Amino acid sequence: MATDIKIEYVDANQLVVPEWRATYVLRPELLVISGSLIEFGFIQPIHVRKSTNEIIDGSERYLLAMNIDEIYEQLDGKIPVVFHDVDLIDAMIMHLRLNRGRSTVIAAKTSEIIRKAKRSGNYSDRDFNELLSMRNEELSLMLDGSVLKARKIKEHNYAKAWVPIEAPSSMTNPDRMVIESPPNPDR
Amino acid sequence: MTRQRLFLDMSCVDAARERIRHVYDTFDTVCVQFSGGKDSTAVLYLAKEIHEERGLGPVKVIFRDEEMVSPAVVKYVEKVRNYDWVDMEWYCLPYPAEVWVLGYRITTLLWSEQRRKQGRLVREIPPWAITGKHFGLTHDVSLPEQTDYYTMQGKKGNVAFLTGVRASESMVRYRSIVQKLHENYIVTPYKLKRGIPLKFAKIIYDWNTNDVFKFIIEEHGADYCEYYDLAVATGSNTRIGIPLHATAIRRIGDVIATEPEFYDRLYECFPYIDAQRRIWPEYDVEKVIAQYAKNGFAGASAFIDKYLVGSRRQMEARVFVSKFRKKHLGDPHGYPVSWLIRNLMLNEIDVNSPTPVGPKTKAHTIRTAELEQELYGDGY
Repeated sequence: MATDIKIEYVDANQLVVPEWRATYVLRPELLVISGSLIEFGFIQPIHVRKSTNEIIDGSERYLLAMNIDEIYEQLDGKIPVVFHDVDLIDAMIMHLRLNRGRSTVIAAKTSEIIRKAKRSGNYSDRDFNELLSMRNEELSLMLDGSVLKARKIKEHNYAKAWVPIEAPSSMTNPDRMVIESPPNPDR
Repeated sequence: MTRQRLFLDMSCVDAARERIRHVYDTFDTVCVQFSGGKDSTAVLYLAKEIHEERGLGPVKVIFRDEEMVSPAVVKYVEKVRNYDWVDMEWYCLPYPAEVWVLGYRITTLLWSEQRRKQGRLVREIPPWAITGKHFGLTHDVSLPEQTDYYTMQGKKGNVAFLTGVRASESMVRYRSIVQKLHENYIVTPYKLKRGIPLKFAKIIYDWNTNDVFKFIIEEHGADYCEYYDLAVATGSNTRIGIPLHATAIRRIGDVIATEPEFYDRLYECFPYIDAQRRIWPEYDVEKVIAQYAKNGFAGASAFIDKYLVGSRRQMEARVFVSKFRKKHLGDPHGYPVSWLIRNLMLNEIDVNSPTPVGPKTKAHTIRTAELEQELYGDGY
């Protein structure tokens, strides 16, 4: 049953990252989240089990806040929390439900946004790197992700034609045995 | 029968033009077997060139719609179908396709009537499609003959289907191209009944991927399926076939990255595929293989009972095991049971004959070590 969300500001040191946490955020994503926390702070509360102060959702943001002074100082030691009166099993299930229901970022749509942002002149390549952890190669793909550019088609020269022939009998000598493999490994 | 490549003093594109002329000179009817992919697109434009050169009218094109086709591919094929220089036959025929999830092989019938009634067809059959009903068949069971038998109906005389198969795509494809020495690129379709006058002509067998794109883009200024640009932007695989078979589903993340709505539709039709997406990155295939391999051929039998769904698939697998057992008896290290389980789990199992383990594999190393010990003793 839905109820009004009650957000409380809690002393960060009271919260606990549970050992059963099933999520792992890769470093590039952590960099993006930390940048966002520095700039916007906690725009969403983290979810915590009432009886134990175990974090059900938001462990990564919590850990970043505790480890990066810039974030911690902004918070004044307080983190926005929604408490849930659930037992351990329900807390763990809630953790999975919240995390399995997350969205996927679609490359094609992302590319559209990046192109628009670049055209606006408000964001530089350095901004994309700092804000989104998007390095030059990825940025180049986002800005012009065509086969023509990615494969350097203009510089390419056609391969030579070939026909199969019987290998010379000397090939059957085990010392000179050649293991066949398909040419042009561009699978 | 070791083969070598003899390079010619001409580009692969010029050679393909010579080959296609030879095919048109030799066969009564020539069709392009089109998939919507880059390779068959290149073949289509080679055919267009010769049709214009000889005033042959529209290019005859065969498209076998395999239902689980990416929306980008469907869109592109529909576009090609409407070109005025293309005469396309669009087939939606019921034949089996495999859905592979964490080692389980589940056979499903493409365009199945049963799934249609349940609302579980990935797409509706296009109104212009040629279906089983056109051949007096229902979509409740699989076609009794090979699919090529149906798609070549109504074609006059000796028929050639031009395909975009390239040697560099896989070892199997390479072998299929170097098997013959004379007219090596003109081959008989696999498993098709003798007496049916159909050949495949693999005219671009020696091209690489960049040759294909250069030819399409620069020589013809033509469009290709937009999936390839999506794949570049996401670092995804550039293959466009059914995304749920044993090899493709291991990169199901590519479908999510490029066309997430398509994944959702596949999930609605085959809900069990989601286990593959979630668990595969952490799934220990080697452990499963070792677990069954330790029990020898009894383990292989148990594996078939558990992982291969459907009596027909199980029967095919048992035939494969039987052939493998004969080879194993002659060369136990070349054909170890772990290799058999690996094949049953991960590879195609309806090929003619099991192959021995390749070089640089664990079994190959064991075999080499044992041979050395046999020859030189422990002191080696």
